[in-house]
Amino acid sequence: MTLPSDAPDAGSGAVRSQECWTTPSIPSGRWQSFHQFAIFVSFAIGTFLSANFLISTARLPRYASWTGVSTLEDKLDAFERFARHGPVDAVLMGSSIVDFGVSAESLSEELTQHSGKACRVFNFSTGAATLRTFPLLYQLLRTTATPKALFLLVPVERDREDVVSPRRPEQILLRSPIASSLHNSFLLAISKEIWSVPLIRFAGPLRDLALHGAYKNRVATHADVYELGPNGDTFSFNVNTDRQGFLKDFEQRRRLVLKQHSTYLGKSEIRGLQDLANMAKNDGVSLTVIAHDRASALALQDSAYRAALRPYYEEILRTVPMKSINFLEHFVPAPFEISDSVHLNRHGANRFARLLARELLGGSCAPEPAWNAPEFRAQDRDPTFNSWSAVVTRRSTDPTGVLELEFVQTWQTPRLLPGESIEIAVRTPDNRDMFCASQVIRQGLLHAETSMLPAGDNVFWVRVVSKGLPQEAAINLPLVSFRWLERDSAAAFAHQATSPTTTP
Amino acid sequence: MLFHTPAFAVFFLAFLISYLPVRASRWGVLVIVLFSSFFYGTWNWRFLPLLWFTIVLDFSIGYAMGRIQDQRTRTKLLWTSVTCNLAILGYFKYWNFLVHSFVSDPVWVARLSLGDIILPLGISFYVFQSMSYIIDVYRGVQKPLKSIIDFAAFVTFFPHLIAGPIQRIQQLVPQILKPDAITWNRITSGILVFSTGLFRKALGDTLAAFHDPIFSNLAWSQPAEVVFGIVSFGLQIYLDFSGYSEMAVGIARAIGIDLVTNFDAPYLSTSIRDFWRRWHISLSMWLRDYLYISLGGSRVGMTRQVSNLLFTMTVCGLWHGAGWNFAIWGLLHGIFLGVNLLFRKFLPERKPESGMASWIYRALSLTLTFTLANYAWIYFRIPTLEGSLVANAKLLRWIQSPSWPSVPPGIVGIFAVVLMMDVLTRLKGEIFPLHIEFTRGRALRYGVAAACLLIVSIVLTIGRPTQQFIYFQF
Repeated sequence: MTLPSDAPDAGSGAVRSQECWTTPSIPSGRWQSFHQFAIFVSFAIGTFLSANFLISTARLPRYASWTGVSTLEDKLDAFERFARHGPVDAVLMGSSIVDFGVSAESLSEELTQHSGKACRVFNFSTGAATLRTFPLLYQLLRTTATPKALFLLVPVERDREDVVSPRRPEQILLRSPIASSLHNSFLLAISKEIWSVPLIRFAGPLRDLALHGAYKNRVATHADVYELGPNGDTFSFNVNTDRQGFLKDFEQRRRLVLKQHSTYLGKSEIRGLQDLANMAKNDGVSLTVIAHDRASALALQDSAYRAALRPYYEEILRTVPMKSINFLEHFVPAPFEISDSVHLNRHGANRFARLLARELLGGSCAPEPAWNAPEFRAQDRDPTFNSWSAVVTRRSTDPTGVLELEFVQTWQTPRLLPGESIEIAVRTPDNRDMFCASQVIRQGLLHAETSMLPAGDNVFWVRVVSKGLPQEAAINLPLVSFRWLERDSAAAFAHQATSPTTTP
Repeated sequence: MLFHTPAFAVFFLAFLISYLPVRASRWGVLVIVLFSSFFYGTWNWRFLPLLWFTIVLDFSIGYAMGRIQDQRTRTKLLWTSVTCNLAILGYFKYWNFLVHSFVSDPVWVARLSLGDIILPLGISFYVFQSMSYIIDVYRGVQKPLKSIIDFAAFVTFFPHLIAGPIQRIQQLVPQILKPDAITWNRITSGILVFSTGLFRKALGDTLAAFHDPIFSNLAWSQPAEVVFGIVSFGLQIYLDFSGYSEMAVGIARAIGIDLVTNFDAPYLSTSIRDFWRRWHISLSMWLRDYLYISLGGSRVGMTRQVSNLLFTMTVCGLWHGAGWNFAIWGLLHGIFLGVNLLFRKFLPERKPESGMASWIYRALSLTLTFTLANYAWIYFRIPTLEGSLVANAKLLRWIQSPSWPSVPPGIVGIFAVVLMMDVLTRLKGEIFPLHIEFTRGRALRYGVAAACLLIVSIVLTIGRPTQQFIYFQF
């Protein structure tokens, strides 16, 4: 290869090329005034703000692109709303066992009632959270508000250091955009502000809409079928119908606990616990560890099992000295209080919270009146009642005329709209199935005629079924709440009173 | 540190705070050099000495050339520089490729190969840029620079350091030494060009998310999907690289420096020759001025011209990456250019001047050029020959029974948007022409447009893993 020094077109070519491929120079004499620049910037900002406003008013689904855990982002939102209405006295932290299995709402009511001063508790538990996860959860929650007390509700667990599941919340968090700011409260606050901009927060669903015309990458989570309460509780009114699975679950659990490990806590759990304790100490937050367990273990526990639980909590207390509470021997849930082998349902969560309140206040546990409950057995060919059927309770002092039921209405559940021809199937404590006339008052809310149901302290198993169709037409609708009303107070229902149908 | 990340925003803010007060003085050049070196070091500080070795070497050789009159010594100095630069490039980029290509004995392959050697970021860009200075000094087109800091600023200027556009000394250094006044107009212009680049990058990444799975499962993909994937990749690489270039141009504009334009609606070209005047302009100009012309350019016979074209374009292919697929890609373009040259030479020009025939002729030329350019991308995108053969087989099957693949409507929308942007560029010279006088109405429209580009970019980007620019690997 030769590089001619005297090649005329080489040099001139380079110069010629300079002229044609240099960017057009910007006239410096024109439009230098700040005025036009201000117009440019104002309209750019205005457009950006308008877009954000429009997006915030649109009902877009959340893709959890900040933390990667949708239920956690839902909890954060709920915590923000909760903190806006007053000081946060205590926060419950735990896994889904606590998310479903302790009612912060009931705990707040009990503590307020028995202590004589307003007490506000929030349930910040999230699925699969462990001692490793707690410091991360605490950092997240204190971007909104710092509680006065932190209750760590943990079941006995032996975490293996060598097993790192990518689906654990701390692993998901460390793979998400939040990861880079998670260990610095200042950066975390900035990150939170940035990700609360509607355009950024809802970029995922907007992108799906733009590219596919639908929310193609939307992932269903349990937040789509269970309601999140104002205190952060996840409501389940389901009931366990799998007896064999329930017994098997307890046997496995029992084997794990009775094995009596020399150490329960791994290095990362000890570090997590210490990190949490340090942060709590700096913030002036008191820590309490509270024993909890799987629903099957709570229901089937015996004295040997209970004794074997202690070393685990003793090890936690040796790692970080704090107050501890263990009243599991006083809490044996009834079948109607259990959602599945792991979780309590709303009724169990309420009772656990009442007992916890009394433990916290140093009171004694007064026995509660007994309930009459049906047998929760989903028969093979019984399409009407299954684990999605809701458990509702009625004291003898409650009104009897109308049962108001509110159901979850999300993209994952069937729509229940006014004008629909439906009725309520009810299994009574004497194991009779009755069909009660019902009317949808507004979307997701219905009133059922229940004056014919037996009186007393009863537990009923209820479910929505399509009227006039075979029993197979039962609708899987998760319950949000229920209320017993006098017939007169349910004015909208008055015109449609029919006798309930009874099936022996 | 990618231009569209918060880390770069912090870096740029720190740069502005340091640079603006001293930009009119010699200290401004030093600030550029320091910040650019830091910018490069954030990727891998261990390659910073290599960058500085190139700078010191070429500055010293250029300086020596300026003091020596003897032509033979000057030529020796030139070859010293060219050899050293190519040796650096060869060692880091091509050694393993050469060993694996030409040594068959596995024992010797294991002995000779350098393992998983890391390619220093932007090495092809800064080596070519530095070499262009030496060649210009040798040719007498450029006087040697007196300050190494000025030369370092030319090589390392951070907006173009990693992936170009490849600058010329005559174009960049005067601006670095005496930058234009920073006016509101310049800032607006910078914002607009940067937003357009960001928008292009976001569109490109979206296309990649669509076609990457197709290329990963080539054997299992439907022929129509493969065809669509090839076109989609052709658009992605255009959007990705032109997006980076525009971001670089926007950043530089805002601080009073105009970089060269690297793309000019290349897919609206009516011949491959036209395509290479509009695609990666700074590289094709470099190859033309420093390689093709040095080989004889158009002053030699037709056979030599064609072989020079083939050689230059094969080098162009290998510049992009150490692999036979890149060589084939370059060679293909060389063949296309050679055929174009022969047509122009031996067939009389019968281009219709006006009317419907002219439009049909244009449309056919455009379609043919687009098809050829996109066909060649097969070899660029697929690293193995086996993979390319599978893609060709799918392409043939699709030609035999054409069908429309199941493509998300938004992807088709992106194709339409890119076409619209290129038509605008072709009609107005720039998407946002700022060299004409501004009115309030224009300021308003451009404000809304900049925000819209930013909004779409955010929507398409957030929540996805940040995609590295394709040209960073070259």
